[in-house]
Amino acid sequence: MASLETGVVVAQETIIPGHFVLTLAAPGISRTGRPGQFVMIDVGAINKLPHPLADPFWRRAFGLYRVDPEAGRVDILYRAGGKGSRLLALAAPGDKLSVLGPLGNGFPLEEAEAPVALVGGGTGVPPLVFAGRVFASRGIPAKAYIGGRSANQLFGLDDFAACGVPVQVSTDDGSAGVRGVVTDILRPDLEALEVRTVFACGPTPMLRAVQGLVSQFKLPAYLSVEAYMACGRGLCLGCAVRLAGDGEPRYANACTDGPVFRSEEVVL
Amino acid sequence: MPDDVDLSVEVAGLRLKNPVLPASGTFGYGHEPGALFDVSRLGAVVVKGTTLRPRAGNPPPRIVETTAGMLNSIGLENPGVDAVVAEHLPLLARLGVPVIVNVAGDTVDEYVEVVRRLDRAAGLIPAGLGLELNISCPNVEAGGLEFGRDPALAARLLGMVRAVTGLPLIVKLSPHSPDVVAMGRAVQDAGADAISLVNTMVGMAIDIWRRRPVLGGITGGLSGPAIKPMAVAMVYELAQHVDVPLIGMGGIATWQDAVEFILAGASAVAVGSALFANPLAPLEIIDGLVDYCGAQKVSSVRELIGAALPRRGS
Repeated sequence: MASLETGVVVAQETIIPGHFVLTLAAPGISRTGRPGQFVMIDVGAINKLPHPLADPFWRRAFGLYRVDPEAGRVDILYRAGGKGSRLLALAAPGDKLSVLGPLGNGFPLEEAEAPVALVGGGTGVPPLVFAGRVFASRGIPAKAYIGGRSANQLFGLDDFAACGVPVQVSTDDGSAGVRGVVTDILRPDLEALEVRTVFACGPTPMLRAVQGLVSQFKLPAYLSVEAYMACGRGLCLGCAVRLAGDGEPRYANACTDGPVFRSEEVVL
Repeated sequence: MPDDVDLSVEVAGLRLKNPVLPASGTFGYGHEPGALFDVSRLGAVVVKGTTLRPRAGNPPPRIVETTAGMLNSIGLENPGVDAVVAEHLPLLARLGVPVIVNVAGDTVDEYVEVVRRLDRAAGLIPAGLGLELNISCPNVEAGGLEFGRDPALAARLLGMVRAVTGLPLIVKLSPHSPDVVAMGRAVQDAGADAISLVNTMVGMAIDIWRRRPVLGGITGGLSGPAIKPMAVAMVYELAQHVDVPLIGMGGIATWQDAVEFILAGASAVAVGSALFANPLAPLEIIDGLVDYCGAQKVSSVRELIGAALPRRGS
């Protein structure tokens, strides 16, 4: 059950240009957060200003990257692209943030038949790192397939390696791994029957490609979808995701029904 | 904090222990765990737009953040009036506060039928059931805003609805009413017990890289602090020309915002999209109102309603 928690910034580090890891002391979320769940941070109210900023107007959603329940800490990894995340990048140790979470359903780790393919790109990678770490700790075979534009845009690879999850990489320009997209490196392993379940998180075009591929192989796959989100709590009905099926369109909420959906359930 | 301040107000015959409400469509059905606070502290709960039949809503993207606000094009997604009565009203009853159901439709007949069914369910809510007639939704093809632009049409709709219910009837006006005073007077004369204003303003955002509108519904309703001064002005204007109580809304995020609306003539206020970033905004506003009344040395918030209006006859 989601709750509001005051997270205190412990550290904030740049990992590659424009990408940050924010470590928060947030004991509640550190205990209950699962891979694929997310938090929403009120980036317009750092240190609870006496009058909230009206701009940015929404909280920002971030997938959980690491949790340490013993230390009571939560890490998120994000790209400072828009005005909200750039504001967050200014947060310094000791700053207090209003954190809402953990939100969403997360990946179904228990139901997934191994070996599991963790497929992603960009800021879709952190939740997959979290899932990979949990699988590794349980001795469940998993392999990561990470796509990016270029070698200098990749991150999270060391995390997989550190917990013993093998990683294969694709880049658009061939500067690292295989030249191509992530489904190009996933396909051979599906053909070789080395994957029983797919978890994917990344940009919508990538998820669509994964969706197409897994349907050919009739593999169970779980996709963490992206949507503009205002409340994160199922109240605004803004983050609608079209559900598969004929006739009158039907929608689910990415925030409370997702963000992880079975691949065949949703139309992206 | 002074605890002898009286925040209670009466709106459309509903007794509210304080003047702070959630705005329709921003708070679900009020009983969900997502509310994150004790909802019985609110003056009333306002339920999202309810139509005769279930509606799936508009294609995504349905929302986008804009400068100091947001656009929405939800398209009145709701399970239909029968499900609201069967599933939600019994849970809302437990909260012990008045409930206001926002009613929407494409046709006069649809509004009338929804109201008729809610009227029959009034006994479910002992604290009082009110209806907010939404004639200002910018996100549906038919009905909605059409009624909100034409005082004669709105008055006719209201007359038909009034004929089937004695429940408190609030009419929610659009900021696009060409003449808010004419509209307000028309619905007052046709039997409205209160008027709420403003609904969202029609707005649009374009994705410059795709060269297409961002929203699936092309245009959406603009809400948030960006529209607050416009909303305050409309409340201030209408308050001078109608006698029914007003519920003010449009960009309220803080107690200071709420005070502005009250001073402009609102008997109650609704917090809408500000709830998304700050789930506790309504409670902070209630606490802030108590402190403000104390600082202003007024024992009741009612003394502040319309206090910024020009004195009549002067």
